[in-house]
Amino acid sequence: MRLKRFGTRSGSLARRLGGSLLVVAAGFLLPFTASADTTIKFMAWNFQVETVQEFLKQFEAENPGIKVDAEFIPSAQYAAKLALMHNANTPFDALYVFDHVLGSWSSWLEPLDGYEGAAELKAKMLPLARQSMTYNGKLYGLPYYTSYFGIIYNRKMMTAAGIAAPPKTYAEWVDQAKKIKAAGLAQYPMAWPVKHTGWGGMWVMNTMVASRGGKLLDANLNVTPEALTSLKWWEQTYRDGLSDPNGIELDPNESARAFMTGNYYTILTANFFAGAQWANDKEKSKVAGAAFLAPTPENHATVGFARMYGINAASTHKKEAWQLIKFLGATSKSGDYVTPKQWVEKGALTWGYDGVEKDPVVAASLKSWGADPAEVAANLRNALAMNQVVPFQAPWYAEWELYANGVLQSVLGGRVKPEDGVKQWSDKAKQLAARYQKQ
Amino acid sequence: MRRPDALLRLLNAPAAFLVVAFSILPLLYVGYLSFQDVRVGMGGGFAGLDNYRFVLEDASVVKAFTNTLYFAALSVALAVLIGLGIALLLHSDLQGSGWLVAAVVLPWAVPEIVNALIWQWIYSPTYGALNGLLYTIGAIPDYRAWLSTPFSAMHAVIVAYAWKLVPFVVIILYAGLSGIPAEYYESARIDGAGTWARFRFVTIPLLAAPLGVAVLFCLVWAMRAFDIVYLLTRGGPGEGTSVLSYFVFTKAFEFGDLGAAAAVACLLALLTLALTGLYMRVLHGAPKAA
Repeated sequence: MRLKRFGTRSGSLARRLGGSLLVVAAGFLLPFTASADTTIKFMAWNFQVETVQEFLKQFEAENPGIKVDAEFIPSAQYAAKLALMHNANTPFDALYVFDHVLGSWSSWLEPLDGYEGAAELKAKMLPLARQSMTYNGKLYGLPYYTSYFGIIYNRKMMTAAGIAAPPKTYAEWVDQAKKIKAAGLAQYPMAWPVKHTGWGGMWVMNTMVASRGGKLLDANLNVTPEALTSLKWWEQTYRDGLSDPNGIELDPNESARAFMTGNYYTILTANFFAGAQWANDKEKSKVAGAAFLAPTPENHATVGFARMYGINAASTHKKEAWQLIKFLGATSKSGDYVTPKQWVEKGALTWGYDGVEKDPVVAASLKSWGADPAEVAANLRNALAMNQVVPFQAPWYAEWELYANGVLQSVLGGRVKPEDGVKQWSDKAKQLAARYQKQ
Repeated sequence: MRRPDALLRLLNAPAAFLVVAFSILPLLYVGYLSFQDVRVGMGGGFAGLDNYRFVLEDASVVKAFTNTLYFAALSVALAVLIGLGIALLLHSDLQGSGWLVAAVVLPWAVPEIVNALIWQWIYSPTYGALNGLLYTIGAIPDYRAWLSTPFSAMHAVIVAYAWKLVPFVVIILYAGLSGIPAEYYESARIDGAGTWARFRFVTIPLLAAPLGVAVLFCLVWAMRAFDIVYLLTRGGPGEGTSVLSYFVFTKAFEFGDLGAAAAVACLLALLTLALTGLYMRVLHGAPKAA
């Protein structure tokens, strides 16, 4: 009995020991089992984090065996942090890339041309996307989104002033603004994104120059006559009290929010600010339903830019990273533009491939805030890449742009004459080009 | 005699190691980088004085240099003047001075980023407290963007930075005032000295040493002020509030030009060292408190 009892206890003990060993063994084995999954480190800036995380879940569901570890960085610090991470050999696999840093990052980004399906995707890309993501003939990204510049105008204010249509020339734009000011509809009819950091002033400047059929800098890095004309026109709007001097420190988002107060007639900015999340947001914008996008004046040419998904050349999981960026920046396995379509709906961010506008969801989303899908598609198709107007992909460009934005603010603020401003732009471009060339 | 020396050295070794590892070696490395042609992610070679030549010819560096001097001089002067006034008030046996000390020290306890955010709200062109106050009392006809011109932005940053320095000045000067024997004031009063004369001939000379310490520390901090500029104005508008430390940050970490950034950092270190040396010389000539 005792023996039996002992035997029972001993058996129980053995079972417990066996159970414990199994648990311990499982503990040891689990990491190895988990390692069957490849984890991709994905670096992104912090725009609509929940949406991106939702996309990553969709990707993981479609690709069992690949996990994505995403890290989100405030966009203002993104470029600096990524450059430092690269320098410190911090491992990461896939990432967001700004097109204006492509020149300086291309040395450590993976060229994508040889990847499976890349050639087909490249062929379907809009010229704006293709040119913005290509450096020295190599493709370095798949489009996160592309955007072009246009005039967002307040139709309610326009109608109240008896104006029939948005401006088709720069002279007409000034006349309309004067009319609106005289009617007491706006103290300053024109709003602009001109803060010196981030994109803003100089991109608007590039747009104005493009719409006059010119470039900002010539081959010798001298500022062109079209650029000086544009700068003089712009500065005059401040002197005439048509542009808001208080808005000189507003970045693109802040200037769009200023426009949403209903106190302005126009803003020349990126197309997505006319979307349902911005000027046509029924809950937050006082111009919702009255904010429409018009083309730039004169020859209506405009510039655009692209944000992209790239792969770190030092990644040890390039194949999986390619699968991830293909899902995010192109199509799912079924060939559907899953995330580009959802970005139109969730962020008014426009696409980088031909024909996306024909999707019923995309078309409905654009129409919901008054945009014509065919017109948006045509503008995206015809928009010039920024590097067709300025040396956007030169390694020194980002540093020059920060300086040029500051000079632009000084000119618009009346502290520097336009002629001196363009000289400062040119001198700085030559100085930086020489220094970077030396290095 | 030798044993205590050895023990002292041993006890000091960890601190000495930390100073060498985290102050002296990085300083020497920055000095080395300033003579190298090096960019983030790329190897470099010896550049001689090229980096120094480049930064000294760069109008942006000259602008940052003058901005730094202006910012440091004005913010320290403002902090010392306000700090001295508050310290004198506290020392005058004012009722409720305990509460005042707590209120004065509060800004010191506020982290730099919170300080900058508070001032962002204060200066906001649309909902800022400063605009609200001035508009309510009729001092301005309309709300203003205080950070939209170089002049107003620079002074707005100076005020925000000085606000953070004041508690330190108050604590140092209040301690200094407490160390001045009451007999000195009594003797001066018997000799017929009025309030101003007692302040001029007793307080100020005997407060010179703590004042010197306060100015020196504030000056060194102000010369390398970065957070407030980065968070409030990012050096703008234009280069209106760009100071040397902010310039070094953008040059090194946004554009990766480590050689040029190191050259500017070395010039900034030399400048701070020169100012410190100058002030120490002046300080050693000043009378000491009893």
